Order: sequence, then structure tokens, then C-alpha cells
Amino acid sequence: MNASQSIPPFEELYTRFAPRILKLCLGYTGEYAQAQDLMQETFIKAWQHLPAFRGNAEVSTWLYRIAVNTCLNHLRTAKRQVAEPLLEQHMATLADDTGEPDEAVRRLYGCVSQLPETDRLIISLVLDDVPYSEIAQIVGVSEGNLRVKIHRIKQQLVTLFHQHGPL
Amino acid sequence: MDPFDDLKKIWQQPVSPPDTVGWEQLRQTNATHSQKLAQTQLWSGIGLALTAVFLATFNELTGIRFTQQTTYVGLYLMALITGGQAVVNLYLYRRLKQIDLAAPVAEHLATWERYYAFRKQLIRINGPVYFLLLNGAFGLYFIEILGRMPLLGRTIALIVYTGWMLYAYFVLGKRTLRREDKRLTEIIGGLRRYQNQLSGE
Repeated sequence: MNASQSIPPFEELYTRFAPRILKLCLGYTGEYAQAQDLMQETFIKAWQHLPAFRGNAEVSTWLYRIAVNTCLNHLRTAKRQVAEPLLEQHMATLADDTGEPDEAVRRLYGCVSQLPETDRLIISLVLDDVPYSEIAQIVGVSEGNLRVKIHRIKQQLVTLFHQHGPL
Repeated sequence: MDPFDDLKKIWQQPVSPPDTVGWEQLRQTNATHSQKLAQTQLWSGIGLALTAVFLATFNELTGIRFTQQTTYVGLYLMALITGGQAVVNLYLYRRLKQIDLAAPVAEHLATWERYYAFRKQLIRINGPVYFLLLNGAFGLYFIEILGRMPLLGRTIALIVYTGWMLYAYFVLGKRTLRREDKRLTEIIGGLRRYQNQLSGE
């Protein structure tokens, strides 16, 4: 594959993938301010390393891998702060035509962030409908192994979500 | 309907990235661990390279002429040693910048572990060797410079010099190394934990 043909302009990449990367980071941290920082770091790194991207993987896989590594390299000693105004800001960006209450979104992010680190990242990708083959490449496990994990994490997440009562 | 599909529906509500984040802002945002590590090496390398150039051209720049050969030898040795250390720092910078952020986690972890092992070995050897050589070069330089001073001035200059060198090596240097080590172990620790979670089932 020719990289120059497969890589869209960076601004387009940002527009297309920033919301998904933000959700991945939000699932990982459970906090909007940190998730926003991680998303920005991901795109800075992607921008810096774009010339090195040779097009031997999907651009989405490449970006997700950077995001996963950025999340894992994240400064763990950083103060975990709940930035309520920012979370509210995030909620405001969610379209309200789906009829889903904000509470459900908040609860879902909260439940995802209670899972172990790897499970958080995997389930965020599953929730975003990323194909299993791509998730396997992003996290670096076999697809068979991944399916088993996903089955377990899905059950765990549904249980956690419903423990907090009906919507 | 699968209860998980309900969660997916909630998750997939469209979300826009914050409008305020422009590219210039993105480029200026906070540096990560790896960026900080690389920046430290870059600036140290540049600082030392400039010092080396200054020392090597000291005579031409100032027009000062020394009477003893040892002074020139000391000066050029200092330039050589700081220049050599600049090369080491810039090599470390290059190695850090070459770490593939988009590599699978296992590969990413292995790269960091290789870098960390190399860096530890370098610190064990490079640090003391640099310190000893540099002080040796200063010693040669001081033969003439301090020789011109009265005994009291010589004593004060030596105390100040020795005090500063010991402080720089044992306090400032060790502190910087501790900070660097903390960053590296955090990166590796996080990646290892992730790797263990993946392989633990």
C-alpha cells in the first residue's frame, strides 16, 4: 500500500478520529480533563510521527495504537481530579436527539473506568464498533484470545451498569 | 435486544472534539514522559555542544594568551570532554525519538526496556568517567591560572570549585537521574502491568 495515497490530510484525521480517541481515553481515565489531555497528546505524537507512518497498517489502527500507548504511558502520579465543569462541557457536546439521558452516559463511562486497564481499552474499542481483527492488532493479542476476553468483559460491564439500577 | 447493544447505543452518541483545540494549541500542549525525557537530553546536548565550541575557541574569542602548555591542554581537553558528552546526550535523544509509539504494546515495552538497560549501564560508566576526566582537565587548566593567585585566593577558589563540583555531581546530577529513572520505571511499569493483564488469562 502506498502511504502517500492512504493517509488523509492531518486535519481530516483529527476531525474523523478525535471523537473516537477522546472516548477511548475517557473510558480509560473516567475523567474528562485527563481524557482530553491524552487525546491531545495522541494527536501531537501522531502529527510528529506521521512521516514515519508507512501505511502497512490501517491509519485507524496506527492512531489507536498511539492512543493506547499514550494512555499506558500516562503520568500515573498526576493528581486524579474530577473536573466537573469539563465533564458538563463534554455532556453538552453529546447530541440530545437520541433521547438518552446524560446520566446513562455518565454511568457508562464510570462503569468502564472501573474495569482493569486492558479491559477498559478493549471494551472502549468494542463499543465503538472497531472490528475484532483490528482490536487484536491494536492491543497485540490473538483474535481467538480476544474474543474470549471480550465475551467476559461485555458481561462484566453489563452487570456493573445494571447494578446501578435501571435507566 | 442484547443488553450490550443498549450500552453501545449510549456510547456511540456523537461527540465533537472540543472546538477550542486548534493545531497551534495542540502543538504547545503539555509534554509527556517520553517527550520530557527526550527534551532533557536534547537541551543538555545543545548546552554541552555550545560549551565545547566556546572552550575550543576561547583563545580566539578572548585574545588571552597563556604561558604554559598545560593550560592549553586542559582547555582543549575540556572542550573535547564536553563535546563528547554532547554526542552522548544527542545520541540518547535520537534513540528516544526513534521509539515507535505506534508499535504493539509488547514491542513498545521491549524497546523501552532495552533503552532503560542501556541508560543504566551508561549512567554507571559514563557519569563517573565524565566527572573524573572533566576534573582532570580542570586540574591541568588550574596549574597556571591558580598559580598566579596568592595562597588565600587559591584556597578560596579551590574550595568554591570543589564545593560546586561535588554539589553538581552528588546533588543536582543525582536528582536529575532520580527523576529520569522515575519516569522510565513508570513507563515500563505501566506497560508491564498491561502486558501481564493481557497474558494472565
